[in-house]
Amino acid sequence: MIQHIMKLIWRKKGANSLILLEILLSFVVLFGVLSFALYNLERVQQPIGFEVEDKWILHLDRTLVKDSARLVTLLPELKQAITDLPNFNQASWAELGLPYSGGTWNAKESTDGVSVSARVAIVDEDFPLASKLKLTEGRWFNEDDLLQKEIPMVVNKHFLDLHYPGVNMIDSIIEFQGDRKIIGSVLDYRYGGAYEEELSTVFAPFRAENCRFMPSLLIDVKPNTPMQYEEELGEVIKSIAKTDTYVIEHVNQSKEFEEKKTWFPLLILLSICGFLCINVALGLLGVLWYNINKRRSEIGLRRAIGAHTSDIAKQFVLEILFLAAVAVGIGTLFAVQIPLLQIIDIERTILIKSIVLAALIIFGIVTLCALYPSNQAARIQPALALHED
Amino acid sequence: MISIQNLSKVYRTKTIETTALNNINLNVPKGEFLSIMGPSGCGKSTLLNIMGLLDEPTSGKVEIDGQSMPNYNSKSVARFRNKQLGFIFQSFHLIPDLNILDNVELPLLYAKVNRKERKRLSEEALESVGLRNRMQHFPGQLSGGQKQRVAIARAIVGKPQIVLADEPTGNLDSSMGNEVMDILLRLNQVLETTIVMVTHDANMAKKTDRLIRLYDGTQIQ
Repeated sequence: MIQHIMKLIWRKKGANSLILLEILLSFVVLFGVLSFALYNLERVQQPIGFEVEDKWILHLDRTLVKDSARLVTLLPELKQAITDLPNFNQASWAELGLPYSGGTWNAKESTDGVSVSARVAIVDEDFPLASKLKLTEGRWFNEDDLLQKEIPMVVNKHFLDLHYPGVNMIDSIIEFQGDRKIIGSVLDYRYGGAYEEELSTVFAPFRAENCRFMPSLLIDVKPNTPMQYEEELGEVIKSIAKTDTYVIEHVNQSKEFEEKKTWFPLLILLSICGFLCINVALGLLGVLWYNINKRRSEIGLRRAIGAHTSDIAKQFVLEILFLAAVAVGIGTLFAVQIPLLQIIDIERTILIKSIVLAALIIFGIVTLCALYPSNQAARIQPALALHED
Repeated sequence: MISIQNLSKVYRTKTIETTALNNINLNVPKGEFLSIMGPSGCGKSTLLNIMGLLDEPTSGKVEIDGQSMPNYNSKSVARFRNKQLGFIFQSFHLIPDLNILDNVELPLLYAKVNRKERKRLSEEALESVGLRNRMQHFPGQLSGGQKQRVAIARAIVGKPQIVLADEPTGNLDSSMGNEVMDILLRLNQVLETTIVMVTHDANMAKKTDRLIRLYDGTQIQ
């Protein structure tokens, strides 16, 4: 029966090629959107490395950075005054790399045959306490480290895996913007948020005297701290920094805002894809309906020579499923080229999952669209169909 | 072979009731070549469809080879049609997308005969209608007479006991009609196939063993 169906399809290749093309394009679009969705879904399930609840970030007047002598005394004094307040636990000054800050500084250096590249977060010694960042190896830097010849730095696991796979690098000295000693490592730190991929990252110590950009203060706030404490914070800033210009950012709100930038377009893409599937389904339904009406006498004949109603329904479902299988096969051939030719840097498992999922959706749509017209075809009365010519 | 008792067929719509067949009683013994004549709309094709288990009677009984068929949509009836009945139609009903061999093979496909055997039996059937050399042609490449001979080959490929022919020469000129009729007569005489043929052509009907006439759904002869 399969060979018989293949013959019928081949003889109608002109008309069938359009259906095949429609299914193929739908498969390709579905594959693309599903890859993007699964890629992001996988990302969002991974830990980001820090906590977002009850975290505030204080951004001060940027002009203060011009007076570096004042900054050296102002920053520790302000941090102390804030952490002395009853509702504020820990705080950390950071020049770069604060959660959802958006700013990055990428540095690249080639030493000892190893090309080291990483983005740099410049934070102070209290950063793990304020952000709840967990060290997996070694330790965080302290004030004593700043007096050493080699500048200390903490790196993430991705940094080590990328540049020194399988080597224990704790307490090793590498040349990266000067001589630097790796003193500790963390598992993850995706400060751009859950949809960001894990990048090679190093934490360098913050020094007020070396500030090029106005630093911000990450504050760990006690749970359920009401908004009016912002005013209390403002009074401290006014009294110490002598400025009214400051912004208090809530990290959980920044998280929502940043993540929306990814999931909102994804939602739009998925909606477009949904509409496409509905259009394809309606198109297939129409084509199948038309084909069945055109083939009424053939259906009558098949019934007369021994086909049961189920044989008729099965034939029409198999015909369209066969076309779908060819379209999905061609689409898969294109899709597998992506990892083979390394067109985009995306994990193979995600691509395989996307291919399987897109194929299942296509076969699901095709089967659903074929079932009703095929059942109607099976119900055609042979005596009537054979006398319509 | 075919026994019909008190057969009636009534078509009903919301507003009208049409009696297509009225109390028909008929026996067709094995090996008989029966022709049915009558004006258009007298119920000839309806009677043939009911004999061929393609339509249900409103009342009455149809027995073929001693068996009555209660459910016309059942698998057993489909199987019975496949094994015991062969159909020939005025408009041939060949599938244009299949070549001649594939068209003839069709009943064997539903009988689940293997590919090699299907080919052998189909070639044999085409040989018997003189079209073996046209196996790879498509219906569109054949004349009307050749198409009807292909339809005959398809009807007999499964070696059915009964062939039901609905105006098999109706679309053919007299020469081609005679050719087709000769094949049917040979089939009846050599293989003793029971044939019931609906026709408008009195000359063709004369060649058969028996003729019955219908008028307004009633058997008048």
